[in-house]
Amino acid sequence: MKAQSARFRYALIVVLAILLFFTIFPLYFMLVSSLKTNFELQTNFFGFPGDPQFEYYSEAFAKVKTYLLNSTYISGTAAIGAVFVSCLSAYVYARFRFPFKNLLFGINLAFLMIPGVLMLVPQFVLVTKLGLMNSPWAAILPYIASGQLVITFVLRTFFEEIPKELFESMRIDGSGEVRMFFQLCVPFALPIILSMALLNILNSWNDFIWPLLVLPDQKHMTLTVGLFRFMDQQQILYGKMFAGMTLGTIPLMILFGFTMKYFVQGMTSGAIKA
Amino acid sequence: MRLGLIRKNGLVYMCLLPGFFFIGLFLVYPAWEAFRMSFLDWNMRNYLHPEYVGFANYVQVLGDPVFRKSFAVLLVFVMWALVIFQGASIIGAYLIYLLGNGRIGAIAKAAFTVPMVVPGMVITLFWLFFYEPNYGMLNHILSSIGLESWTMVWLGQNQASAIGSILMKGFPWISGMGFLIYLAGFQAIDESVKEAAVMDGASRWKLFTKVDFPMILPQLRLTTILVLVGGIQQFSDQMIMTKGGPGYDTTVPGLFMYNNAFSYGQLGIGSAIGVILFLIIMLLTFLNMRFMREQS
Repeated sequence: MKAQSARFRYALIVVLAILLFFTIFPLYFMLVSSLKTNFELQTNFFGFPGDPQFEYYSEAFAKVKTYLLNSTYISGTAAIGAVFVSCLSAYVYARFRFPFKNLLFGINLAFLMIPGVLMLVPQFVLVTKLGLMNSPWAAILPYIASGQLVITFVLRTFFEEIPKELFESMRIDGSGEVRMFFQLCVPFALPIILSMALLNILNSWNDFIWPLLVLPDQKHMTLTVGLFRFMDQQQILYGKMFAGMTLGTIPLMILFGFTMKYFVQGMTSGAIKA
Repeated sequence: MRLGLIRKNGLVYMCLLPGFFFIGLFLVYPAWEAFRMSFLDWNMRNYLHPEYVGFANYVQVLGDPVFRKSFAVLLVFVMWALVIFQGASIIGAYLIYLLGNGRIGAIAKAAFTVPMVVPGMVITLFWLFFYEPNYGMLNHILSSIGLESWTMVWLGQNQASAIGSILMKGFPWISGMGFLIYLAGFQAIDESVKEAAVMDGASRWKLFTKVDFPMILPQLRLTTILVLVGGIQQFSDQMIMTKGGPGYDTTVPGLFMYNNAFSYGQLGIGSAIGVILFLIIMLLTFLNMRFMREQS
């Protein structure tokens, strides 16, 4: 292909730099404002803090700590549960022929398409009747239920791509199904399993309406709802609010810092398959 | 042999059991309940003794001017998401694709990917502060450049300012799943096809419209239906930023459902709204599938 002219390339970089500036700006602003008093926020709006208020972080952490632990527990457990359940289902769908297979997989597919808005009110009634209000399981169980649908769907296609001969040769070597699953399927599909788990964590971490409904208690609140409540107070100390937001951003940054490669790969290859 | 088959199938069904336990209890049963509850007069006063009222909830909801108006509001938000959000991610992805696979391209891709993992609530709270009338950034900027008279309560002044403010949230709307999907689509383009077009002297615009853009149509179809289905159900931005106001000016159907069910305790009416939205979404999904089949 014809080499791009240097001028075109510079223009490209400048446009992208401007777009990136606006994309990153909220994060910059959050960081610098998290160290300012309300007064300094007014007098020195965009600059670095002149008199950084580090105690905002310790004060915010005292509140956010509980939310962070709750969110980590809920998102982590839900992701592990959804992946576990999906692996079992996907393996069976990919490997065996059995009566009602298409019907059962069809139910899975159907609920992938049925919008959650239909079930919001009855799910709330159900969770209340089960006595799960203000229990982390009120969030975890429905997250597993809806999260597993797409993972089962994607993993099935991945497991089906494994050459039949590999299963055959393992069987001749005397391996059972459990061993085939762990020594053949899991290593083969590990990147996609990991990226599905990450996507699941991202979704449940960001969910707002459901935890707002079923985990209203301060002690059980998730991060998203907890941060929202910061805004509700009468006298807002904006610095403290921004410090809480910064603290709430860190865990996913760390998690995805190590795993972004898998996540991006899995997202894009999964999308092409679907 | 037959016994072996049954035993083997027994194991198969055991493996499917956990999945269907969750599907049954948390999806099938609530879906069924949604329809049943939509025919009940069920609120906080008669919580223990809901009463069957036939289609009364549907009649009441469909006749409610707030509910009708909420669809006009929804149309604005969904159209914006379909055109502007998708357009922005396509343009962003294409510009990075044009940078090539070198160091700068990789850095740009990473830089736009990072904000994806910032919790959505953090971004929303930033924008809430952006529009905040007393301390907020937008009014501050306006005052400091001498446009004091332009300052206003952005999220509450009138319908145009409230809707416009929510729509502008997240500018420049690049960082997201769509961006990654389109970028992967562009990067999968066979360069030899393009070389021929370049030899023929095709302009950059022509290259984009005739060669590159058609290559991401499959991705665009997928994201379009996802954006559409997601957009119809979405109401947390409106709930957080304007609570549906001023008046009902930013109330979308999802928020109307939430308020009926959880603020006014009208579980029957809430369910009926859920069923109506479900029917609309399924109709659109079905039409989209028909359309895609005809295309291919």
